Amino acid sequence: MENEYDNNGEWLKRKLQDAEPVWSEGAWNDFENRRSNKRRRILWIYFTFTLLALGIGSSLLYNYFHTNDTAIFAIKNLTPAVKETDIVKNDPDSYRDLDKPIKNSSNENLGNITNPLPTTSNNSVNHTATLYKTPTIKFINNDISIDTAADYQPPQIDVLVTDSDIPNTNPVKENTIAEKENSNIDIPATDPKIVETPTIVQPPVTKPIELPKADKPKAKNDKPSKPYIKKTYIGLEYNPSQIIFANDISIASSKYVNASLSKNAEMTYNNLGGSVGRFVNKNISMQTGINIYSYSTKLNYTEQITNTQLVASPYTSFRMDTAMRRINKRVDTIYSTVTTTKNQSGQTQIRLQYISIPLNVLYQLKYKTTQIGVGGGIVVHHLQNTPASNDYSDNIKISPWKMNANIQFDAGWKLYKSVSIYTGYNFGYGVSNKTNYIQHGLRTGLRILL
Amino acid sequence: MKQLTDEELAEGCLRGEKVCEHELFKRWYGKLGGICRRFANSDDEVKDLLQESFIKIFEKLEKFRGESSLATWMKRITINHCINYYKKELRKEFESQIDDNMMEDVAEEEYVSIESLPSETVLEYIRKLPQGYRVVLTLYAVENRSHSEIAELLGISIGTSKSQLNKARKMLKKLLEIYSSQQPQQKEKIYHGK
Repeated sequence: MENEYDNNGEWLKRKLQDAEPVWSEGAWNDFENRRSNKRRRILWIYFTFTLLALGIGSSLLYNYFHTNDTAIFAIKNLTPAVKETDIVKNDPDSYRDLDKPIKNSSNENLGNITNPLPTTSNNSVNHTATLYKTPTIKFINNDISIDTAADYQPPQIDVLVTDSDIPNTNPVKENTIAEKENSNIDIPATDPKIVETPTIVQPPVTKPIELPKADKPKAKNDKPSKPYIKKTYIGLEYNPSQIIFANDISIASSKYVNASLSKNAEMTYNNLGGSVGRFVNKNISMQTGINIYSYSTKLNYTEQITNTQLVASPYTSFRMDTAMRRINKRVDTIYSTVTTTKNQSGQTQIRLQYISIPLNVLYQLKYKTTQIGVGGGIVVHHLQNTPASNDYSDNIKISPWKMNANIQFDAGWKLYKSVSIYTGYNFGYGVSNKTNYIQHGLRTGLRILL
Repeated sequence: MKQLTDEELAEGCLRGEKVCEHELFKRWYGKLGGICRRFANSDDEVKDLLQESFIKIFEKLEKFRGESSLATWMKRITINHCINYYKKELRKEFESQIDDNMMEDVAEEEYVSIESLPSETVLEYIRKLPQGYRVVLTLYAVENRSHSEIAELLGISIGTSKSQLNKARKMLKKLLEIYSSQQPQQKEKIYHGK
């Protein structure tokens, strides 16, 4: 009899296996209610978190630009050569008479407020501008995956402004003569004959590589299921963004942040990209396509040095991914781009622009077709140039390392079966050995699984 | 009409088909509910544990890699959820030695056959066991886990697992014997409440 109790619990197992709750349709309804309540709660948490992050980000940005409003106004509108103190000291009325010539403390004529003279320099100014590409959502069946900006290497644009680009004449002297002849004549801000458009070398154009989908459940334990992700797709994406470059943004010296930032560059670009890709297996995807970029670059927040270019770049890429729980780890990612461009002389150049190996961690929060990702990583890349006889060879610089962090919000919707659209916003801050930058932009895309 | 396998239902769930979710829920409601009942202290807790387990199952379905059968995987999620649910309570219990007098308080009664006992009664008495006893007993006797597995799951030593099991058995045996000896009065007392 005692064995009934002690026989490794067999009797207990028998007894308890019968003690199962009885099914009723109400159980399903209760479950559905509980699940939807839980989802609602989670969405609120995500929403609050996103708002908080955006709030912190925008307040930081606000602080960058508004710690000294007066100084910014003076610097942005009067060019760096004209200082507020000079205006006030020499002619307090200059604020009222915008056409009146201004002199600085050395009694040099600086033009007037509406038409300041260009800054002159005997030194070459090398502006390295790093383009920070926005992340992209990929759709695979019902799911989305986000490629963070850290996943692939942003193209790099180096702008070299040499002595030949900026007139080596002394505009102060010219203006002094002009002033003698007629002090009421407006002095032109720039001389179109001698101020040339700076050379801008277009970067390799990158396109995000497909993120393989996480494993799907296998049909049987001993029968591995078909590779679920073996899909071909086509995509179209429009991606307008703005980047603000600064060689010397310093969080520590906040007093000078705005002034420093204003001395550098800003760039707006519009990117329209089309791609065709295919998953080779569950971890590797290959993609090919073409991106059309239109760039507009401004230095010093003035119209002095502005360049707009239209570039079409074909590319081929592949990537390997691993995923663990909610954190997507991306390692051993190799990306290469071959780009052909035409230089200003009409010569066609073919370059292997760079190879990059990023190490990224992406934390994803996902709810159906909406996904929020916070990602960051360290990207090691090598920029290589194989110049033909061109004007750009000296302009391409090597940036051995680069690091960026970004916060992003993305949302996607399935329109019809395999057709989906997505949109997103990205704000990022990046650091490299060449330049620091702040980038933000919107993105809209269409994706069709074939 | 051909009945879909669990794995086919799971694929349907991943495609977002409510019908498949409903069918999988219905199919496994009893089995997983049974597991929860063995861990829970009350029917309300059973409901909570079961619903939360199913939420986890549906959420994690895409991570199911087919290394075991779907049934095993779902059971494992349910058991882990139940253990996590009571983990704090269990830790306290394992840390403080349960008074052996609890067992001595159980009066010595004559042995009766337990084969005739209804399952609900056995479950009722399982719930009267201290949480630590109940969890170890359930894992070992019903879920067929080894002591080393139990020790790992609960964060205790193998020795503690063995001693908890031993005490649980003894206590349950005595409780059931008392019940059997008090029939039919006790039986009626229990079932009138249901």
